[in-house]
Amino acid sequence: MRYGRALLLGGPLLWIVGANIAPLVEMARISLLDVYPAAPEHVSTVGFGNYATFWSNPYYVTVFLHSLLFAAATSLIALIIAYPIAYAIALKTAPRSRLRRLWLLIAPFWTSEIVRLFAVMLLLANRGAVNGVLQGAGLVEDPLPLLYNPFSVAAGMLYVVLLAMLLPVYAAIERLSHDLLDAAAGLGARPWRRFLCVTVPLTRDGIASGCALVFLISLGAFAVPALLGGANATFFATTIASLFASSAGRWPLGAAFAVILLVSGISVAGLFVQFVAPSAARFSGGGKG
Amino acid sequence: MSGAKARAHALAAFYWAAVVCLLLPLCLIALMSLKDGTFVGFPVKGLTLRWYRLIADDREVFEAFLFSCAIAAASTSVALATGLWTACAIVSLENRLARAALICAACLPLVTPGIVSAIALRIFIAAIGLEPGFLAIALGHAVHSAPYVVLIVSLRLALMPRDLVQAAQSLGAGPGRAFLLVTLPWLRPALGAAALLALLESFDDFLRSFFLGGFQPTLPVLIYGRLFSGLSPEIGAVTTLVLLLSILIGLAAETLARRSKLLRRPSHSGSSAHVSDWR
Repeated sequence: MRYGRALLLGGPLLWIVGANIAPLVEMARISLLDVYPAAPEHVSTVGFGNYATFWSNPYYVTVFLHSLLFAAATSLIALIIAYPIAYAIALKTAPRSRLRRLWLLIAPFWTSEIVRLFAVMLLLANRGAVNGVLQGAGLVEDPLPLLYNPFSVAAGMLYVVLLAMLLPVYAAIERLSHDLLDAAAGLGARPWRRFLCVTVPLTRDGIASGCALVFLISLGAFAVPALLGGANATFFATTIASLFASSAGRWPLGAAFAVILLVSGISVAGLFVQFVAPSAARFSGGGKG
Repeated sequence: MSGAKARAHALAAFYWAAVVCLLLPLCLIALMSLKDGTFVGFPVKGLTLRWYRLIADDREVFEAFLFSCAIAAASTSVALATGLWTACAIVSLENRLARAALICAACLPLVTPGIVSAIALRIFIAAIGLEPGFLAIALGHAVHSAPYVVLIVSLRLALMPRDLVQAAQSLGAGPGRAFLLVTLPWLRPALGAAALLALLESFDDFLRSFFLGGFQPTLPVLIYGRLFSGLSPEIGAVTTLVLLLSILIGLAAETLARRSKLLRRPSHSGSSAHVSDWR
């Protein structure tokens, strides 16, 4: 029996340590080296030089902060779009058809990220659908430059991340206790007041986890800025990727940047969740437990 | 009550607008794949199946497709095995704290930003001496899909009546036999759904395939490369096929998930009355 239990726990622990944790640890180790892979004539030294390179170069810091802001803005816009949709399904749809309505929204997200980004390109290109309609209607003479700018990156990002916002928010709204809404109505709260003072506070945990997830996904999205950002796109994810694409000599710097991205991303997301959803579980009908 | 009705209508309109906004771009791809003409874009003057005939003879596309399928099969097997094992370990833990810690550690790849996980794995395979290519991509996909398997399977395990295994054991089955003859059949729909989700994740994945791949591209990496080297309607045809395959796998996963009752939520007592109120 003892051995059975050790075997039952040992396998998963081995996998988790080997596959989930070891790559991150190895990445952190490389980020402290000055040369990797070690050249025969050069003994690599350990230090925080790569991190110093980051802080002393305003270009890198600017790109990094820009990416953080962009990810935060994406979370906010995704929340503003996803909340009414989730609300419409969870509260204004008969229980029977809720899942069907939800699947209709989920289905587009089964496709590959690349497929969806190609679709955004077809939508926004100079000869794309939007410009085709605008020119066909005679609203514009020359095609609008919709593609290869921050706008197209934002559109593509939303098309990639929206589901990660929709599902947690939907789950939170769906398990909202209707008695509380009825009580608020009975006490004379108008619909908007009910929404702002009861619905939104009680779905804080869904809002928090949705925002945290979307923030982390958009922070780490590489294909979106690479495909839709154009030649001048400055995103931290593409900066990191370029350090790995060009020459192996820059791996340590790229690893340090990745550590910075990971630590700051998880910290911001974690702080946000702590700040927004501290006591939400208490009210939402024991939802979390 | 007319205000409430107006708000309900506005919300319904917003929902359907979102559905259209999400589906229409995908339909554009299908339209482009059928377009007669050499450039991608509007106006569309005529339709043709020429591009599909063209990719039927495209060796590169065919090889990428086979490569993608092989990777999906390999990574799904690994993710299923490790995910199932982890889920069983999680459910066996009595201590709530230990259980939560194990779930968090198992789901770490879900909250690691994509670029970080991709280059961490790139560094890792270099450290263990694995060349970029089939094995590296399959490993990367398995790491990424295993958390989904863990979550789906442990949900279903939690629904299992506790006395089922006890009954089997009191009838003389050893732990292994009880697992094979009782637990595994109970988990079958959840395992099916998890397998399809892992297949989908692997088949759709671009980031890990891009950083862990060698010379042979997977289908999404091939599409990515061709998107850079100038748009031709041929990409539309390849993308349409990839899109349809993804939707098919997704539909199958949904059907299985529904059958395993993973998606049924506890209904609220006031729920139906409330809804009829609003309608």
